[in-house]
Amino acid sequence: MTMRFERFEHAQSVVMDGEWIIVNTSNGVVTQLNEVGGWVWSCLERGEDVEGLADRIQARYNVSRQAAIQDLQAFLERLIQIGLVKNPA
Amino acid sequence: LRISKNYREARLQVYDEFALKHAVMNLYSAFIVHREWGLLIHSSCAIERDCAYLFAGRSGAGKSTVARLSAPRLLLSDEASVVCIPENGAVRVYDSPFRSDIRSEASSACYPLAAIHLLNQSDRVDRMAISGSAVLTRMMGAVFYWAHDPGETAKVIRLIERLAQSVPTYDLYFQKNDSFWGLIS
Repeated sequence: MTMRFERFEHAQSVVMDGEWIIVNTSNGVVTQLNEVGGWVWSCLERGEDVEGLADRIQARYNVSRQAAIQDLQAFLERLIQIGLVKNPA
Repeated sequence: LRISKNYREARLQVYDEFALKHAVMNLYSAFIVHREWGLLIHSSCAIERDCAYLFAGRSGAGKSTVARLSAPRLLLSDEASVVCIPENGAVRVYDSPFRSDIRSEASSACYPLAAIHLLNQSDRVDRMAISGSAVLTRMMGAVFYWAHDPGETAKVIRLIERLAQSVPTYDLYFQKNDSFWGLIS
């Protein structure tokens, strides 16, 4: 089964000098992402599913598939906790 | 403060003169953000060689002090600067009617913004560039804006982003004398 995560509609992202900043404009909370986090965030905008994202992380960062999925899930769970990503339907 | 959705009408109900000033500042800030014209920034602003220099910080940071220490330079603000941030073209600063201690000289001219300085009172005089995400997060704290609508807040973020891409931002460490101008000009 494919899982698609949706970004919170009131999240405004800014890239400055290679750093990603996500502002939740409904509560003013600012979240800073590193390069990998920013890349995943931009992929979410295009509606990519977890499986596809894990494939791309595996290829891009030369890690095992298990590590890619674990890291991705941990990152997405954190984004859900802070309200930047909605639970998958 | 109630503003119609198209920003053509506003209704203010205030308790005293202080509340009136802040209500008008909120209204003005909301209006220029709504139009994506620019920002009202907690800062003083002085002119040096036909360029504007902003000195930003919260209450007590030294905005008025820096403004007084900048005499006899023209001051466009001592508390809240009116900064126009066009999508294309130079960022410019206008004479601010929102004053704390120093009265406006009612300059009708506007000046290109050369740099933003975030104020830090110190026993040394130094200036350090700020880059990346720090500019956005620090400037968010300097903008006079009451977050009342996510869509309007998103405009504030876009305006700060444009501002940061156009104008260098520094941490300024200053003593209570005018030696900091030696670092700037």
